[in-house]
Amino acid sequence: MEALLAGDDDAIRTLYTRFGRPVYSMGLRLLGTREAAEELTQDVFVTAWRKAARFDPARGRLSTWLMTIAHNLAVDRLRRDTGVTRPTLVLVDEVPETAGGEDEEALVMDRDAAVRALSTLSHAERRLLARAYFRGMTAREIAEADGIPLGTVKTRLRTALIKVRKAHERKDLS
Amino acid sequence: MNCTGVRDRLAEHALGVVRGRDAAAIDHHLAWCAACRTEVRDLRGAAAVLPYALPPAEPDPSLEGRVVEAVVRARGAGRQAAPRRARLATAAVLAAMFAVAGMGWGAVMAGRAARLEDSAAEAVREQERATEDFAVVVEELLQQFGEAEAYLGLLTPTDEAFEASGSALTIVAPRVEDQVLVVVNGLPTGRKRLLPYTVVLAAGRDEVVVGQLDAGDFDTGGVAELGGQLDEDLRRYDRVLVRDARGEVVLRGMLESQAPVATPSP
Repeated sequence: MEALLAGDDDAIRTLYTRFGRPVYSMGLRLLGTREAAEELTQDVFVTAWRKAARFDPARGRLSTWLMTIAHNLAVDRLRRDTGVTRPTLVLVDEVPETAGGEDEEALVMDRDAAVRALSTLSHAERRLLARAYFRGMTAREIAEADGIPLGTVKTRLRTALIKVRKAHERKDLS
Repeated sequence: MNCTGVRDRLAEHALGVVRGRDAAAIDHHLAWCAACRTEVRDLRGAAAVLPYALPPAEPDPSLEGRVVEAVVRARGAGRQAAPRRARLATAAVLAAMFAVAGMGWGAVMAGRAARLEDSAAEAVREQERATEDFAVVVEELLQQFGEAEAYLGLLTPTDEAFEASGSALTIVAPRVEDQVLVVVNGLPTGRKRLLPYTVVLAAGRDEVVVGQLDAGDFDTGGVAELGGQLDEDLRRYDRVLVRDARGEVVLRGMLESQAPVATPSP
């Protein structure tokens, strides 16, 4: 992080190697075009550099911090650019086969862990999280769309996140 | 917003779907509530897992180079501009200070003096003291920040029947927490349905809560101050709003960048 603060090229490349593709993938899925995803990715890493001094490992993981920056920037852009076309969202059902060298390993493990964590959820819970996180729908919007009580949606969102957290923690311990 | 209200929306907040005033109110609560902060950290950690489960997309190989370039460019701009920006920032903040002293703060203190029915001489002394205190605060901030920019707003009442006023100053620094100082005067404190007042910075629909002012925060002269650090980039906030407990805006002002003051060349 200190190297990132100094704007060290190698530190930026290391961070990009680790998080560039997840950030880009999220940008592409939320914003719909390669150009927008590329612009978002650049903005995310510049923002990370600017805010590097504020990163506190005691308050959360680096991946959480960076993906939160990416998600907030993407949702801000989504709300600003009305009428943007977004592709249909599909959360992976199984770990994709990925060829590649050592650089790929950490990414594959992240994907593997994410897919395993999400596999502990029901289809309805996965869909619920995806609509909130990737579509930016509030609990109220989901409740109105599905005709179910608002309190139920809020409880299910929280329960689903806790399940994901616990499953992901088990991955860390194993 | 209390813990119950915050926790009711914490999952949504962790998923990034709460925006604007609600998000600002939750963030304000999280700033001081360790229990809710722990909960949101866990929920955010879970939310951050989600993007990894998307089918991976392969970016253009040139993107890595462009990302590095973008960061290096931002770094270079910061370094190149640092000495000049520091000088300009000093001048700008001094200009802001004088503006506050001469207009916003002066009005505050004049109002205070009138309410206290103090002598004119006492009012002048009070104003000088306040200005000196303010100068010390600003100087300390500048020494800490090095590179800093100042944005000043004079607050005026939305209802002319109010004889209220105020000033707001934000200090934007790229590498540390941004600072905000707000002083208000003359807001009614006797009507419970209006209290507490909430001070926010706004940018479009997005808002960040600076803090709340209850009756006990106002001194006998009707002046209240609040401020501190905010974990936000305050540069993008261009308005200051003070709302009463009903949500009605009672004071508002535009935050404007302080134009650099010409300084003689060394």
